[in-house]
Amino acid sequence: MEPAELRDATNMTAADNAGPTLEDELDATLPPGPSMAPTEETRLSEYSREIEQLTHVAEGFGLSFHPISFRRASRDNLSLVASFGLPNRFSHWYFGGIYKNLKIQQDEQLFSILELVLNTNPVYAFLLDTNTHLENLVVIAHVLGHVDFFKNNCWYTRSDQNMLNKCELHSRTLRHLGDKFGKEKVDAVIAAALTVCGSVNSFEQNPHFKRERLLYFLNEQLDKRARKVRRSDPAWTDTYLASRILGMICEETEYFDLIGRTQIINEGWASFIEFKVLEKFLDPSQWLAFSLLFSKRPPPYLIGFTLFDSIFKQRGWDGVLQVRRSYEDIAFVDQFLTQELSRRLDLFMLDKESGEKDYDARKVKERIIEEKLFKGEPQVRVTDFNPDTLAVTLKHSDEERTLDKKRCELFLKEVHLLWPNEITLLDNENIYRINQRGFSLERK
Amino acid sequence: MYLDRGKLAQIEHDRKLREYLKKNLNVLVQRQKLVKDGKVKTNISVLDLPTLKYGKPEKEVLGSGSGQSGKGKQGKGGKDQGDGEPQQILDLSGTLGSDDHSESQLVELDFDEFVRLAQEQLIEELNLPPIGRAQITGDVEREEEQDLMDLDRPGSQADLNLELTMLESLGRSIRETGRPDYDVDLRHDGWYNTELPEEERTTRALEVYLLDISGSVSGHNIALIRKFIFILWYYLEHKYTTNVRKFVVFQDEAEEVQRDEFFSIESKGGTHISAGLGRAKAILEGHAQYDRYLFFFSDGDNSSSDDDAARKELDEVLEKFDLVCYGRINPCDSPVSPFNKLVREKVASVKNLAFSDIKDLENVKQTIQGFLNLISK
Repeated sequence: MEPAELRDATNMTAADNAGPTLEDELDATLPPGPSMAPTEETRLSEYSREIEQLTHVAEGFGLSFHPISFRRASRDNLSLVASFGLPNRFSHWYFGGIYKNLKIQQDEQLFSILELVLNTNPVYAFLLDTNTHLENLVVIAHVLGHVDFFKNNCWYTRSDQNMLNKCELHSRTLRHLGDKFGKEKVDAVIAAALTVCGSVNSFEQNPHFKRERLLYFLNEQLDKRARKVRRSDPAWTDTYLASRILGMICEETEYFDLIGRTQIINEGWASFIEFKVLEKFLDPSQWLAFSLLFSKRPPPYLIGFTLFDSIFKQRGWDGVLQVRRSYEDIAFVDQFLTQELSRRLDLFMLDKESGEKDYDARKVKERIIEEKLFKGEPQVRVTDFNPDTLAVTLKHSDEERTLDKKRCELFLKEVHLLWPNEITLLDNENIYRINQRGFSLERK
Repeated sequence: MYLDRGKLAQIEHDRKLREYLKKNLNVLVQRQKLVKDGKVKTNISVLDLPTLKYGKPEKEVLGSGSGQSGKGKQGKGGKDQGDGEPQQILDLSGTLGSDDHSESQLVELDFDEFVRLAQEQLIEELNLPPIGRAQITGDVEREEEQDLMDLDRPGSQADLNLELTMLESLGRSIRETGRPDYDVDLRHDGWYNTELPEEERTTRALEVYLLDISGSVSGHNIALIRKFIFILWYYLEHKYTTNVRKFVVFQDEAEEVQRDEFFSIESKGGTHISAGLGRAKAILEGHAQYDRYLFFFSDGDNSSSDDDAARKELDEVLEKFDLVCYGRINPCDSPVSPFNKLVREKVASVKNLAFSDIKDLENVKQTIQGFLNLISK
């Protein structure tokens, strides 16, 4: 059973306060961040006419939207949202590192994030406060594409568009847990939970396959253990913390995983809509400047745009609207990336040693799909679980490639923090094991 | 209420980073090339979570275009960016107006920040006393406040008319307050205070670091020397408000180098100590008003043909520097060379010469304490 204090923490509303913490005290000295509440300073009121006109053009193409709240945001605030994922997500050193690097890169003007849009309802779109008039028109049109995608894509309709509030709740709960059990301990469990997040797949519906993924397996088993272990048991705190924290992080990770698994189609659609809307809106000199901006887009944007443009030429608006409704990256690339488009996009497989390029679209497609499936990370499956001893066996089944040994040790130590029972990782001829006696490596 | 989670998280991250670097200080400090472009770089990413990775990178990667900026970047995997991989590697990520930012970065520390971390670690490890900062207002500090003993003293015209000024002040005070008093606080008014030149003490130091790069300085030795220097800096920075540092390396010939080069040495050549001492001496020009220190690191195995010249240069250097500290690199108790013998003999009779064998960290601590005792005199 949950202790009263913690149950209260999870039932908090946004107006509640978990009590003064170090962070609360620091708050008074820190500059404000991107608030959800509009102010005169952050409202894009001078663009209201343009927003209305651009929306009207987009609706004419058959698009529909959730309510959108456009906000002006500073570079630091955009870096914060980009590094955390959501503006009010819990604070952790891992995000701090990303935030720091992002700020440095932006300060050195290596690049600049022009906008960020959140998959919530209502949608919040943050536009960089130093954008030019044209850049703001471009990103408003781009945001319209995203919001239509959020509302109408079948995978997104299943996503949790209340995640902004949930993140706030998670964040407060984690701070409360930190106050109760010690911030270092909670931070360590968060780091361990984030470490196993690579095994997430928000598209996986089959319960059997889902259980083979470490994140879901641990989430399920920790939940069961937390219910079984009595509060008087010395293991209660660790089990409870691991279960609560992993549960929250699992929920957030699924939300972000969806964004990763639809990036090409989502960005492609937003770029396509932006292009089509601005085609009708900009004057020739603005169009020329826009074309230059457009050509510098990162690869997912260009691949997605090119595929949508090709579908549009063959099937018109009905065709592209249908594709944006039903597809995600893997099906989108698999079905629409032809040899001709691959060549036009100048995509190839590059042999790093010889420098040879292979323009075979089939191989390119396979690699993109593989990246989308596994995010370029090694995949391990839970292949065995002993309910009596609670021992777990993981297996890495790629026979051609072996895992980095040092990484295996560090990884298992993190997993062991969440699941303090014997864990075995099989990697071809290597058997990594961690238990109460420590870490060991054997060879078959 | 809004919490700036970014700043809080960054503070947490930087704290982790500092812990990590402190733990790995011994490995980092032993590198031949410690500094590059003013940064200390490590090849271990601490921003990364310990997720699983493949042991070897893939042979074939997805590529695109001709490597224009904004299109391609280095693949993931913890290698130093820009170290030879082709630019055309395609990364299927990115946000509007940006490339992907989530790739774990290599740790790059500003050299000064690295030194501060090293100092914190070493002071703690060697149990050395932390000390307070020097006064930073003005170039001159006095031991104690001077009493106004008389009115007849040298100074500007206003000072020379001091007697009249004070009489005017006395009259003014009587008129305005009815009291025969001066309306100024003599203790704190610079007008009435002067400093005695012989009691002035400079808060500026010229530190010359002279390093023998003839082949003996590497690995463990170089780590000891660097640690030695970092601790010295800790104390000297607190003592002086202005520290001018000059770096000289020598083998057969000597040259003045920049700091980064001094901390990225390549051992080579023979040993001509006279060349090094001569170069150090030449640097003194224009720094007469500074406290002048020479910190000299060598194994002392001088070329036999250079011994006489080295002896002569050493005498001249001892005349011109306020203090010469010679750290003999001697991890293996090597036999005493003629130059080392000479220095040992001189230590007994020359007040501004200090000598110490640098063998291990404990020995470094004693050496530092010895040097600092001399500096504070």
